[in-house]
Amino acid sequence: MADLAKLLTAVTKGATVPSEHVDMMWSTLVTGIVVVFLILVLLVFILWALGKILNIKKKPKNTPAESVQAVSAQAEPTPAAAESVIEEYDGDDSEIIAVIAAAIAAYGEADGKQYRIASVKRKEKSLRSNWSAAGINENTRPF
Amino acid sequence: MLETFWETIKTLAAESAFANISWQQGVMILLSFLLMYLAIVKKFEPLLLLPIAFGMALTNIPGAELYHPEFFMTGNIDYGQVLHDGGLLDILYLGVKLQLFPPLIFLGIGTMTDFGPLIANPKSFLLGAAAQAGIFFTFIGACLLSMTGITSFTMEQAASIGIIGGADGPTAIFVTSKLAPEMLGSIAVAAYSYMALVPFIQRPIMLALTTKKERSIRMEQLRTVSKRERIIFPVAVTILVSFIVPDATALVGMLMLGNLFRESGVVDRLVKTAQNELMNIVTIMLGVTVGATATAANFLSIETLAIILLGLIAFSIGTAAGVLFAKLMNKLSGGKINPLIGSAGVSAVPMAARVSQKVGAETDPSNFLLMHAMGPNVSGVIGSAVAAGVLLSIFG
Repeated sequence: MADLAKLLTAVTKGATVPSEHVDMMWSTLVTGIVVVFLILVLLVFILWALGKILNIKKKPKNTPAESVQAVSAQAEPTPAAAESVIEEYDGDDSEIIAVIAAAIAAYGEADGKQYRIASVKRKEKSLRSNWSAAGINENTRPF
Repeated sequence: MLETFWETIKTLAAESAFANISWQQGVMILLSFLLMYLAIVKKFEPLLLLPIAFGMALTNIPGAELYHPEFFMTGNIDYGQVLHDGGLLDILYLGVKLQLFPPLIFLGIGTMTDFGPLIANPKSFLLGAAAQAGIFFTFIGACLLSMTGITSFTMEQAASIGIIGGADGPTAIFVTSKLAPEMLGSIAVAAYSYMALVPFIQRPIMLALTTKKERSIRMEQLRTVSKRERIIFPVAVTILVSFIVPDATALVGMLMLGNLFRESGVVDRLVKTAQNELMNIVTIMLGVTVGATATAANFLSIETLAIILLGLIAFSIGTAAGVLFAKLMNKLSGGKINPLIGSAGVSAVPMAARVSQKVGAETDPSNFLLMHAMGPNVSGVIGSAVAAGVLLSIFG
């Protein structure tokens, strides 16, 4: 506490530094923080506006009906698109079950066991799609 | 013949470093061994710390005459004298003195940086700004230490010490080489050592300032950023920052040029050169010459201890300011922002973002904060370059 008192006395009196330096010290603090925030806040607005403008320009091109067609026409749908196609599809699931069965068989072959599939149920939807979670896992593994 | 041989041996012995070394130089060489150990064994920012440590050893060998600090102490450098009488490190040091190396490093960093997370969530810029508080509060701390007579820092030296809080090595070197070249060695060693220690410095501060509930907040997935946005971004940032703070143009301009190379997708050869060969060559020259400025006379002083202490304070304040500002943003956004990403606002890319990810994963292993933290992290690089520009415009 004694040191703090000494420090404050020294500061207020400008003990070893001329008083204009004390003024400059505080003005540098204020100027620095204000200018850094000002520039970065301006950049926030510029980027926000840029995002809005470019997204507005994009939207008219993709009407809902067209986007469903576009998704189904793609040879390799993106994870999000694939999910939406599956959700809308309510016909025969035999192909999906065959793929799951093949994957389990391959897995069983590796550890020398045999599995019997009793049922295949869709897992409750999580906050993040499985594709997305797998992608993030893959990308962040090195960290 | 035997007499001549004996005389030659005596002359060699008299001129050898063993006969002329002072204890201070001996201490500096031992210190350089310690830094080499930290770089090689502990992996403390080895790409820069290793050449810095070796440069420190070279400059303190008596009689080698590789570096002459007196050539650069005067306001007007006699470049003819440097080229005529200078040693290897004197000539390489011109790249630091003329402020060529840090912007070239920034060019390489630009080619390696993905600003996508920042463009997707521009509010991250605010966290990058908040974390720069460490720079300015440490500047005040250094000034106060001088006022009490504990140290004798000038305002320019205090500004150079403060910039350590930006957690950005090239920026710290850029500012110090102009404002306080005599402190370049101490400041570079402090900056790079603390950057390596980011996980140890930041984690306790992050845990102390956040609750478990806050640390487990899951953030919304970032939107996809279009190529057009990625290309416009570096151009817009350069124009805006350079128009407001022209002194930051060299750093921000080169950072953004590198990023434009990357995002344009049309100059792959330049991208590869900038992020590999050019950056590696510059890193070697920058590291060795910055290490060379750490002569015994400059380094072994109470001021160096103060720089190391103030550097730690700068990092800590920057981290705390980032976390506290993120907490504020979390409150205002109704609980959508995990305060842990605030600490990534102190540049140190990508180490600080990794720390946010790791501390977040300790609370909830399925919570991925890395991409959200990369926004403030790369924003911190721009923020510290702007802060450097402000300090240079005031004291330069």
